[in-house]
Amino acid sequence: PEKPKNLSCIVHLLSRYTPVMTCTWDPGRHTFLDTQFRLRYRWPEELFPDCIPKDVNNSCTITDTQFFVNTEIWVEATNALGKAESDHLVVDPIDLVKPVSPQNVSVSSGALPTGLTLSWQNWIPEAMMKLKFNIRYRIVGDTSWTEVPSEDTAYPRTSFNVQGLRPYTEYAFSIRCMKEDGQGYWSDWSEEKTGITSE
Amino acid sequence: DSHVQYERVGADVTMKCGSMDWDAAVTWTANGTDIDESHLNGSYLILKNVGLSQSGQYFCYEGSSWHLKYQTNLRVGTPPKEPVLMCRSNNYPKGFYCSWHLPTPTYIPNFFNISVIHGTKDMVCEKDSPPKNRCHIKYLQLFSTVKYKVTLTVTNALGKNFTTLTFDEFAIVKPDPPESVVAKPVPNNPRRLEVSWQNPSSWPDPESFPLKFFLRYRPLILDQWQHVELSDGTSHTITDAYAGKEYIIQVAAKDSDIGTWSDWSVAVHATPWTEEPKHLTTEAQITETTSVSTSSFMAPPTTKICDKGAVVGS
Amino acid sequence: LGAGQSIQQTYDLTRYLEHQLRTLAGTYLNYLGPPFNEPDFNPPRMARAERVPSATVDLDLWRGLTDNARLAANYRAYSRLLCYLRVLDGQVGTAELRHRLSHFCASLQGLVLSIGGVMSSLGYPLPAGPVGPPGPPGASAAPNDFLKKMDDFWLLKELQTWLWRSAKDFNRLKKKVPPAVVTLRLEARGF
Repeated sequence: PEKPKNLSCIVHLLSRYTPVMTCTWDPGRHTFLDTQFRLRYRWPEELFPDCIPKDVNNSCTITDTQFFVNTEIWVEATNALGKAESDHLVVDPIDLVKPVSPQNVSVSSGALPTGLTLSWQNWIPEAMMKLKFNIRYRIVGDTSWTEVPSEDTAYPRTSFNVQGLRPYTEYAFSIRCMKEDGQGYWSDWSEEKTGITSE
Repeated sequence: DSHVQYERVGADVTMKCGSMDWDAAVTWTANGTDIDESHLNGSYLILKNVGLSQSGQYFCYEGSSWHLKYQTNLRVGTPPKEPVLMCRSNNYPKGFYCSWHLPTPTYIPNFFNISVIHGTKDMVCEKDSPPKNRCHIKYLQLFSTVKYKVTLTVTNALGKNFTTLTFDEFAIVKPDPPESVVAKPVPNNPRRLEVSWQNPSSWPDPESFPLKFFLRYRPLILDQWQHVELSDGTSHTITDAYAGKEYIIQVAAKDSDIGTWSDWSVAVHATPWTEEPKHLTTEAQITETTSVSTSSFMAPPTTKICDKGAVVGS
Repeated sequence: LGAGQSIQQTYDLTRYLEHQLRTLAGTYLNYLGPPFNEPDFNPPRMARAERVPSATVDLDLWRGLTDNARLAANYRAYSRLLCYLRVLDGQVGTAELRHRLSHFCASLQGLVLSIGGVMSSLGYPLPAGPVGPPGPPGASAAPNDFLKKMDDFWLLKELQTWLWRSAKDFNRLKKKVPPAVVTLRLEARGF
């Protein structure tokens, strides 16, 4: 078998304390032989049970992922003619998280007719991860979005006053989040919520 | 003879005139005022359902010779109710203090005794000088799972009461509010405010026991606060302040792992930076003056604002 | 990973575990039922529960601990606490609680590993001698269910207290070996 390539992993949180890690790789050219792939991972003194892909040969999901411990991850391909191993990834799974998008987003009127206040709840506890945010908005009916400068939302928070809007106009807002230090992946954009600036 | 006599509010009090017989002629005074005969039964003074106002100096004189036969200082009061006791560590890990008060006054002197037990160990509670009802306990050990038991007993001439608190070391950790909170506009940034503060001076070792902070801010014209939690550092830049609006800002502190949040700090006010109006020629100034008084975003004077069809810029 | 980074990672893991345990312990004590889930429950600590490593330490002694002694105390404590917790994990009746306990046990094992990693990166030997509890945890099992639950109660309370202590321990170490120092050293070696 060829050496599996482009191993990459992403962690999702199924529940607040249930992180699952899905790794994908390029299995290489077809070998025309029965080839087994195994996703292997370990800590310096602990080899975890292999993750055996089901029905596919290029991805596997580890159901019990631990944060804040560097984990060595690699793929092994085996068939009658031999064995090949991917490069080993050594990473702290906390740096591979794609967070759940901000929840319960709401829009309320601001202190100015040209401003609206966006509020939301962070689903991830601060002890697990500090977040930064992107906020985008557009006039309902328009197609192009405007984004709040990312440096303005680069730290943990649960609300933001969007300003410079047009009075008496309906706006749609959406927000996403990511680990504050830029490691990992952006969440999906939250569901859109609308609000109308006052007169 | 003369002494202090304590009686409960509402009690009926009978005073004998020292060694004088029941039928002896006497005169009673209270705080220098003669007491009406109706209060006498023979030479005894009868005070029914005494009230606080009847506290005072009572004298009994022999009828003819005006010899002073009896004197008492009547103190009308109540027995102590269960005292309110509070223990808190605002200087963790040095120790904690307990303070107490009575829910209602007793009007007579009260004496407090406090005992602090940690497991099987009796701990010394260094009392503050009166009238402060407070004492301080030094931690000898840290990170203990054994609860502390504090019992406060209060005694006065009319009765006794006590209260007991049992708590874990970590549950009472509550810092004092942050100090020296300062908020400043950021030049050329109409939506930013720079806030800085200091650890409460009572927190002895912020290096080993770091504090985290909670910042809340709102424009004066709104009731809704915005919050930001900060796990390190003693400054923060607010990036979404409403341009030109005066803000009220407060900060609270908490040990980064244990205990509860402090009270909010003293509030500070600040208004984000706003652009200085440009220097205009005289004619321009006249035009400018007439329009400044209306809202910053204004329709041309000839357009009726409520005429939806003609909203500027839509 | 340099010493500074691994200390920071260990500190983050400690705070994450402490956060997890707060809800997990509440769930477990509810599983044990009254009086164990009552806030003011303050049972005596039986001899068996005394074998669980205590986080209690003299204040001045704690302040004066060397880095090595500080880390070794943590390493020994969590190694033993992990063993006791695994016994707990094996006996829980509900699937959800069992899943969360086993996830927590794995995290705790990660902490033991991390502390060991920090010690190695600072050049300290791992504590010698038996790191597990004296005798298998079940050796002198509680004679009845109530006493067993009392042991569990004290195990969780001691573990919570250790995590608070460790957060302070690693915070002190973090300040002494900041990650930046290590980065400079790496750059000096042309990485």
